[in-house]
Amino acid sequence: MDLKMTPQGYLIYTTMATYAVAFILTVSKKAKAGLQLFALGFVISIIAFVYRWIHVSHCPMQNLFEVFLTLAMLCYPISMLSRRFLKIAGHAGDMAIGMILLLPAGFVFHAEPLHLPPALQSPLFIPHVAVYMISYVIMFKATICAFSQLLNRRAEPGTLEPEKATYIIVCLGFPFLTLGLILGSVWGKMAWSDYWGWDPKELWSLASWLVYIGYFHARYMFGQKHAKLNSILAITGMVFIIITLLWVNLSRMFSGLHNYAN
Amino acid sequence: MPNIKRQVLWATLVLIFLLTVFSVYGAFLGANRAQVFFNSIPLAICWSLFLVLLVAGGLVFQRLIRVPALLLIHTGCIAILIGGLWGSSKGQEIRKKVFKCDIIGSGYVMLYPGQQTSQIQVGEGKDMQIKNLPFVVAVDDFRIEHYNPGKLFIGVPGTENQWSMTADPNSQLDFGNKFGAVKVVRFFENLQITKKLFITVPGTPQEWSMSVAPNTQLDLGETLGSVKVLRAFKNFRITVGGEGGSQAYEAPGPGTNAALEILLIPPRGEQPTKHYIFEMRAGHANKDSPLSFEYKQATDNTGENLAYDDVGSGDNAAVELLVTAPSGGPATPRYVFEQQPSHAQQGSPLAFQYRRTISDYISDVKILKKTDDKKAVTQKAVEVNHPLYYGGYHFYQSSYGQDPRGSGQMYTVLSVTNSTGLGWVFTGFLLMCLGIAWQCWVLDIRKVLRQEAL
Repeated sequence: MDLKMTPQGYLIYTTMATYAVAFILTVSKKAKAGLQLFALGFVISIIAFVYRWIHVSHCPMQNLFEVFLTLAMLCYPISMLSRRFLKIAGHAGDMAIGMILLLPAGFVFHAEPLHLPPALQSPLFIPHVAVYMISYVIMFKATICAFSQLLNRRAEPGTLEPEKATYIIVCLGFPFLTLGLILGSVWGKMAWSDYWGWDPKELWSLASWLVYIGYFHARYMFGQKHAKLNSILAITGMVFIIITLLWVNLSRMFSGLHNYAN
Repeated sequence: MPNIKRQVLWATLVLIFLLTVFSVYGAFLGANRAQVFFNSIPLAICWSLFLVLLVAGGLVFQRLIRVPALLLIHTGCIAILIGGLWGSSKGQEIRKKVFKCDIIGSGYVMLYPGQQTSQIQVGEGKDMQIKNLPFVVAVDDFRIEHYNPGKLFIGVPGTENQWSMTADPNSQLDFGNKFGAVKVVRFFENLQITKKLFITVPGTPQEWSMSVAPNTQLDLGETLGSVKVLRAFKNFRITVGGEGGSQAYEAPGPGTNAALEILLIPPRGEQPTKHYIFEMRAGHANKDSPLSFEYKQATDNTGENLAYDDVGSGDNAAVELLVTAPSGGPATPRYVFEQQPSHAQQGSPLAFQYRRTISDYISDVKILKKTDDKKAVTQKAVEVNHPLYYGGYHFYQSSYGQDPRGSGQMYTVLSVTNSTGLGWVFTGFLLMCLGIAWQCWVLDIRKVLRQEAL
């Protein structure tokens, strides 16, 4: 365990505590106070992100510590936009996601600042990683909806029922996932001479993308007839994403060009 | 749903499932073996089937043609597959056989600065071949850039004690009575010691020293005349013979033969004479002159070398420290060089190492015509993420190395890739991306929300 007794660490732990209290308040039917604390947690997470950016002198999306810091920051805006425009419930779930995403940053990964290696000094660095981060948080939210569907949970009044909510969130996240894959491919051509290098991380990200393609085709074919199958496919997509994000970088089984993210 | 549509959809689902399984399998193989696997005949059939299925989908499902977003997505996929198959190694093999042409897919060019070639190494090991590019590639310069300052690693040999700090000026680590203290004074990208020209008249107490900046002149008195510095060389070379006689010049590469070009101006208006003084060989400039010259590193009044940072002309990175011994006493200055292994300071148990992170590799590349005049058609500082494109080929900064014969000169390796099929693939990316954003964000989300509103 890597406990961080630094200003960066304190910012992370404060965000986590704020998200945790917000979660407890929300599930105890104090939704308004919960939302206010969620917003406060978001502000602190932005401070943590900006502090890191200044500390390392580049956009903090280089290694897994920074990636999780970024992911946790995205929970609040995605939660709010989903509620406002897509009628999707689940603030409590989003607060929980934020807290879970900060666990690796707070306690697992080292925060030692690193210079950007030559391969990462590209105008595509920020867009490629950022759209992936956005899509991952959205797909995480879709997974929670898919679990709600599998557990036969009912929707709150005025919000979408879980199967439709899952579909609509996957629809929101999938273009980001596609853009991430394509920007990575264009970057690969610029940096490594080929738009596709058959690198393990590339192949796992292609596999995650294909799972969602399968989800769309299956849902087109069967509609909501096999709602559980739809949910299982959405959850499988997230499992593949987690493998793409973590296993490929943490396991020696998949050594490849993306190893600097370690 | 009619039977044919159902069958095409089932086939699509099966193929998506298969490709997912193959991708996961490929991830376990590692990039090199995965590339071979995905270029194998069964997989080429699989990719082609995918292509056929996409076309079949368009024929069977009118919706894929009628809805522009879906048309964009599926046409994009078709373009990507066509470009991918056409540009793949299998695709190139087939093209070679069918069109009887010699295609260079990808390869490597290795050059020392100042060299040029049109030869390219294709393939590796037993399959390695040398082929000819339709133009000449020249490298003017190759350099490695670093982030400054680097990191100072401090250890106590024989123990597990280790610390590190960024070598920012004035940063310090205090280890108390146990190991003393270390303070960074300054860092150098290229530490050089100021050199001066020392002049003596052997057998007499007369001695002078002078700066070696060009045009510096020193008057040695009425009987000896004066000395004027014309040029200073880091790596002196001279051409022998040729028009206009021998010409001294500065050779590229690390400075290994420092020299001065001076003018000896005799008293009483005699003709001045030009001479060369070498760092490696002190002595008289000519046998008629009583003067003896030495071109060497200068020291200040306390006997310390005069270090300065000569940025851009070399790579002798170092950090200047003030080290305090555990027993206390005055701090002693010390230089730690990146290129030399660390060694402990006398009286201090600490050992040091200075390391910097590489920020960029840069090759100045020129493309020349193969004609006699070798006219340059394009040029670029090729660095990671910034390839040069010419004549259907991309040139990438790939690798580098040092002359194995010990000259210290660096060479650069450029990877050269034929970009056939790239246009198809990138057009496909664009179409697919637009289509997916349109379909998901506009059509699908709106449809669900509208149904809900009803």
